[in-house]
Amino acid sequence: MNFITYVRYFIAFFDYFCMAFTVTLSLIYIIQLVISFVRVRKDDKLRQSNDYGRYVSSENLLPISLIIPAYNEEENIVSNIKSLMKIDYPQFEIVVVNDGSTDRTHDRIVEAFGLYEIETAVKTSIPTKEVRGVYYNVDYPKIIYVDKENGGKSDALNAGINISSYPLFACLDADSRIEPDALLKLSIEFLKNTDTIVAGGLVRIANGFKIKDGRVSGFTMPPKMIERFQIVEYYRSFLSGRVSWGAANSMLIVSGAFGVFKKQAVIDVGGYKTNTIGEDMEIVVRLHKYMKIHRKKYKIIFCEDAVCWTQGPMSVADIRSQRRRWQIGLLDTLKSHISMLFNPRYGAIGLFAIPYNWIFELLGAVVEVLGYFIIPFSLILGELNMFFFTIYFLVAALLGVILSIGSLILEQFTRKNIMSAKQCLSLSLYAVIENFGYRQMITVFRLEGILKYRKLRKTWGKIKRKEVEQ
Amino acid sequence: MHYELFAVLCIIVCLLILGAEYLWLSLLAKEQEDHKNKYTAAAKKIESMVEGILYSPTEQSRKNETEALKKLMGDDPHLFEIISAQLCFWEEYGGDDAFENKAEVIDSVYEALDPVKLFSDILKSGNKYKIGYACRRLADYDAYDYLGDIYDLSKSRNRNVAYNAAMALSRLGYAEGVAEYVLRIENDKRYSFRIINELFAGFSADRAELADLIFEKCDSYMKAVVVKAIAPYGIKRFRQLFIDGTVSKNTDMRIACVKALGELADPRDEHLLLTAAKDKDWVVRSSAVKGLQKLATPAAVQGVKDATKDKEWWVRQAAAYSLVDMNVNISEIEDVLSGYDKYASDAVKYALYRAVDLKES
Repeated sequence: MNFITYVRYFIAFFDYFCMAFTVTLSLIYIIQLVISFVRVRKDDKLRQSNDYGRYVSSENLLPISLIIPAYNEEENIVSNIKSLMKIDYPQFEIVVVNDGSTDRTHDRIVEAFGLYEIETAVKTSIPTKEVRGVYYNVDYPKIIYVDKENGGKSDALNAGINISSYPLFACLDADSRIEPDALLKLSIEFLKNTDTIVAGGLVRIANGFKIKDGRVSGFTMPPKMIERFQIVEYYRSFLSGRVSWGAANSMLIVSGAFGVFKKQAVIDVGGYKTNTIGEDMEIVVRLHKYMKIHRKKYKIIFCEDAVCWTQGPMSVADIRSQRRRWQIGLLDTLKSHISMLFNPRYGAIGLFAIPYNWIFELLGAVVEVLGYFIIPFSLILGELNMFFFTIYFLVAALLGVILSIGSLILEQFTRKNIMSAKQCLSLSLYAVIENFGYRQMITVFRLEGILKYRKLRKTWGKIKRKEVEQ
Repeated sequence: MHYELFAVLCIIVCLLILGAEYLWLSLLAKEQEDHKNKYTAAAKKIESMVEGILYSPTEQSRKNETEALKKLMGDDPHLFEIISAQLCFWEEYGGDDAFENKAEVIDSVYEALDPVKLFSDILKSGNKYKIGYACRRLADYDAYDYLGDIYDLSKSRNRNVAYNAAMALSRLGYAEGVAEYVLRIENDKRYSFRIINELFAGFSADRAELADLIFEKCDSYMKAVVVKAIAPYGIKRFRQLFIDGTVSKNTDMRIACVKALGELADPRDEHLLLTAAKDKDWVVRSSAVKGLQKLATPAAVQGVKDATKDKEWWVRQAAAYSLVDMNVNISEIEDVLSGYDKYASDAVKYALYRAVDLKES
């Protein structure tokens, strides 16, 4: 056999591998969708008898520190703090950590709330970069503002954990809004089951939604296609993906935009890892690892009824930057915890969740992009049967559409009642067409993230966003 | 040929699933929209009808309006909740100057709507998701006639139903039923602590009687949980039990008893709390500090001052806040601030900053 023959064998093998890979992934997604259906429907029925509102006055409810790391957030930070002050929760504090912003973030916060510097007795449970000052105003007793040297988002979160006073903390993005009862819903998870160490909420794309103080009052289809695709994409990712992983206590990521953590558990694992941009995933994986090693019972829960709104990127450049960062975060975390891969010591996490993320979420981008080039090439060379390819393409596309429409159905079960039937059906159109262009573009950005891992892995990513509340 | 047939079949199946999905989505979306429109319209109508009832010029017109409201509500508990929210609003904020018999009128509306019948029907519906909710609502309306049914439901194998029924029993003040439920769940340690707290918080009769019934049969874990749950209510008849518990080998029991003793704020327990403030467990020490704060005797103040020098950060903070909140002579605070212990001084400074407006200084 000569070299050309080897190449032809490789191409033929790769074609079939690629096809099997895509179909397998789609089938896994569909299994996740089915699990999520069962779960979301059950939760929907439970909600009919659930009177969580009674907890607002319950002394049982654990107090929460809301930690907002901020870096150059002068546009949104004050309105976000004001919005948080209106949430339905009996006892909470807002810890804003300015991570050495170079814009007017510091001045905006200090001026808006008339804060003044105080001397503190902070328990340094996790080492951080130097804290330049802690600010407070007795007229706003819920707000503690920390000004510190730049050290990255994780370092800011760790500083927030150090200064926080309560047993639970929630990490929130400075440019996101949580629904007024969202914190209550997540916090109840810690009461229902005392083994709960993390509870993640559902992040929804705010583009097109009218939001005031975290409450949604209406929806108009956002003008850009890219925003419409993201709405469908978030439903798929959160409602289908996270609900199913959460049901199996194998969720590897709790969105940095909205999650509630048991503080002591995070301190026990040494806080957020500072030299990564995927800190939200890394901390959850480390918590899994720590709990499994120490044979402790624990639960990492996803609650689709607790909602946080975030403004999705509105340009291709921004979405590119966002997805590259997500992929870098994924790679960094998986690399850091490679010892968990196929390791039975970590149970379902080591045997399923970590391998799934390696194979499909990380390397999937490589396989898919290679497929975009090699399959057409082999068609031209005549290595691939045209009929077979057409069938494969149709099945793969149909499975993708089934999945996207399924996520929209799931959304209906969350009973948010925001969109009209017409809007919902027109959004379903984007669930179809996102499979022809948008998903491929996202895959390319993900691959780019892997390729630029070394260069971009230690930066605070910033995306141009509009205010969530318009 | 077989491959080709299989492939075509795959596509047909996918298309069928997709079609079914679309159909389901459109039905659900329509249902949601109708649901939203129905309740939005009903809420508006209810708002004006309730106002109409309250401001009716004659008794007869009020009666007619109330009948119309009842008809609109039918057997829909969601509509009842909307009406109830409206009535609550009026009860709290509206119309005081317009008419004197507001409370009477609101009561008569509730009487006509008959929420007890509405929720008792749900109780019989067999829908396990709604039964729990109905139990709680029946208890809100003091439906003692259904105590037996609710008691039976508290033995349900469905955890959600049993929990809600037990909460309803607690609201109705049925100590025996609540105690039985507590003893049934005492082995579920992840679950019981929260529920016991809630049951005691919502209990409408004598909490001491309920605690007695549980103490008779419970294990040591449950005893500690119950002591912790009743601590805020300062039940004096259990003082001896709390005193005994302060020397228990079980840390949870010591914490619970020191907390409970602190809430009693009995000067006779000063020495016990001062001893507990030197316990090996920091949670016990911290609880003792809070108890000493309530006592506020000279020895207690000294105990709290000593606790600001504790090796554990949390105890120092608790002591600092207690010292600031105790309204002690300023010299006592200065004493700590100028003392040799920097950690104690820092803790008190921080507590002062959090409590006193220092903008002008």
